[in-house]
Amino acid sequence: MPLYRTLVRPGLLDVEQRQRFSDDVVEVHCGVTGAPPSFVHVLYVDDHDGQLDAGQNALVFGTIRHGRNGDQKAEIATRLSAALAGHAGVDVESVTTVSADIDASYTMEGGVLLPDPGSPEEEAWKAGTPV
Amino acid sequence: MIRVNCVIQADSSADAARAELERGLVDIHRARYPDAEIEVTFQAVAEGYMFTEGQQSTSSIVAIPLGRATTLPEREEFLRAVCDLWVDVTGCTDHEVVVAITSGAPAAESADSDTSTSSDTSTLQEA
Repeated sequence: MPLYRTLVRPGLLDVEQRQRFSDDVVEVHCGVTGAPPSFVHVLYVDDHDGQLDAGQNALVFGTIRHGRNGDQKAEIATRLSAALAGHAGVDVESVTTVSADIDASYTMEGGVLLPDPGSPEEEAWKAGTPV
Repeated sequence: MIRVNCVIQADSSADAARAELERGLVDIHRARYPDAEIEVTFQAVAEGYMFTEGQQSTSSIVAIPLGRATTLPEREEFLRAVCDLWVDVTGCTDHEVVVAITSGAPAAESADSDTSTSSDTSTLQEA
């Protein structure tokens, strides 16, 4: 966690572009939140079912721990939309990034329940996180 | 019906052990919640479609819409049982499996943001 599920128009991104955007997600998410990079997952799904709206090229849906503030979420969304649009060579308006909060204690990763962002437990958790 | 969704890497040890993982998930769930039926689905992700820390991912993501309230100790015990199952069956490390209860969580207060949706954790289920 976080998991950024990235629904894209089929053929929009090749593997190198997916790799580069995944790097962007790590840089942006961890830069904004301070989260450890080893927990950042990006999953790509080609939109063969027509879930994207007309004119929409991609939808980035981040599931993140509850506790990030609105400014952090807005910065992540703006930067990720711009990054993906840049890699794909499409209008940034055709890329949407949104997020949903999940209570940290409902997820186990690395064999432990995830701590709340900013909690004392998070500092200890980060200290024991492989980087 | 509880529909558990498992995102796994195609051609991984988890992919090869689907039947054993499914049996284990059913057993873990049935031992704790015998009144609920469970269905397990697997989504195998092709190489180049999932990345962790910017590298080709070796992780599995197990999303369980438990659909009931749980205490913290209950959650931890349940999630650990699933995590241990994955490690035992696939030989992965505990950093290569993410287990999440994706419903039954209290609504977390969402910070104000145009880009933020609700705290509905069921979205992970679609991962």
